[in-house]
Amino acid sequence: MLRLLGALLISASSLALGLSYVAGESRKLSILRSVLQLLREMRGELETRLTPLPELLEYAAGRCNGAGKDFAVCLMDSLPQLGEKEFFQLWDKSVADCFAGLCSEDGEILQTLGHSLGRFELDRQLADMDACIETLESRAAACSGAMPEKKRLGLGIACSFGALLLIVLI
Amino acid sequence: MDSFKAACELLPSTLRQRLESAGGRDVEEVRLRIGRRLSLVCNGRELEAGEDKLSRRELMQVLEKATGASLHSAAPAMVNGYISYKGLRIGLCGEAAMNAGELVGFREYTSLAIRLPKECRGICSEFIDGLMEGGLENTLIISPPGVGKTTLLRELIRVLSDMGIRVAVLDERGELYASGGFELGRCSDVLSGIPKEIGVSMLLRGMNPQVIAMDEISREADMPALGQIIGCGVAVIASAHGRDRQDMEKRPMYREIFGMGIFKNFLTIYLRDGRRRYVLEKI
Repeated sequence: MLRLLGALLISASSLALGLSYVAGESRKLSILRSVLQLLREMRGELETRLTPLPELLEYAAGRCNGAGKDFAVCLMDSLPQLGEKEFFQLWDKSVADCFAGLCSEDGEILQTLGHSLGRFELDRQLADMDACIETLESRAAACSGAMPEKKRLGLGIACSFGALLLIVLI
Repeated sequence: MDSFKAACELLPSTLRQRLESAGGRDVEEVRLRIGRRLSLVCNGRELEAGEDKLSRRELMQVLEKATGASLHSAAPAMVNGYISYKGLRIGLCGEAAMNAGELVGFREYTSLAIRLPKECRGICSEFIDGLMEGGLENTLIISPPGVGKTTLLRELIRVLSDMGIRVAVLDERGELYASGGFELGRCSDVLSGIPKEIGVSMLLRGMNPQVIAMDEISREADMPALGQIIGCGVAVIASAHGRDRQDMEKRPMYREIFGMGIFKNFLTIYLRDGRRRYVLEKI
């Protein structure tokens, strides 16, 4: 009876491990999509109305969901610190706080954008936004394309590990 | 309005302490230059405050605070060489970014000059009777930059308005009224943030003014605005950069204006040894 119970527990935990890995990858993809939605909204508004960043963030927050919205709200809340901190520092902190699920490369791409926004002439800001959107789009597409394979791989490795453990123990 | 408080609010804490310890309500300008010490202009004299030299980062912090980290939104104002923050005028210097012959912003900023507007009650008392003698005529306030043209114009508007004269204030740069930060009297109407040429026709058509007041007639583009007022039975009070009337006649635009006899009163401000003297000349 105890052996059966142990076998069940090992199988369940292996499955949970695999599912957790898959969920992490899905979350990352979902954050990337939300970030892209936010950046596209911001870009369109910036180009057409030269909107100041506080208003721009408020506008984008109202039109986005998920991590993108959380990021815009977090950054808006930190704007009163302008004058003591530079904008890119506030941007970096919000990226770190709200996009913890992203890999470090995605985070760095976003942080680079924070050094340009609000600081340079419009054309340069738009060019930097375009570059950021393009890079993140290709990364999101790659992540999305690899998702079924990652799911299979994650679940497969977790189940194999569980099975191996069962064989060794039993 | 407490422009000193607004200037303190604008500066990062390291610089704010230096401004506060200088303590003066006499501060007329705060000047920030990368690699130099903070300096304050008091009664026309520039004095350094503190020992530390200003960093690029501190300068950017001031600019980001002033524009809400949105220099692109301030670009249209930058064409005139300054941006505004709560009634303060912030002059800019640095490496300009040009596109098709037009200024689109700055690549690098090297200096800022923050001008603190003031309210000086009572400065019109020594000449107001002379100015009003025989009825108010078109008046030009003359002084070099930073000597107090805008302050005098603001006080003159307040005095005339409180005398019951309807004064329409064309506040193109938002410095005279500062979004309600300054008292302009009981009979004044303010139109702000609009070019003079467009604003004048709106005021003439819509507000039935007895006097139109406007700051800094300095460009050829301001001439049509003057042309619209002349001969309408409305007096104009304006200000212009110059040492005095004779000095201004060296410039073709003013030679033309003076030659047309538009202005009958010239109010010149002289600053000597930290004291201002107001001289009224009637033609």
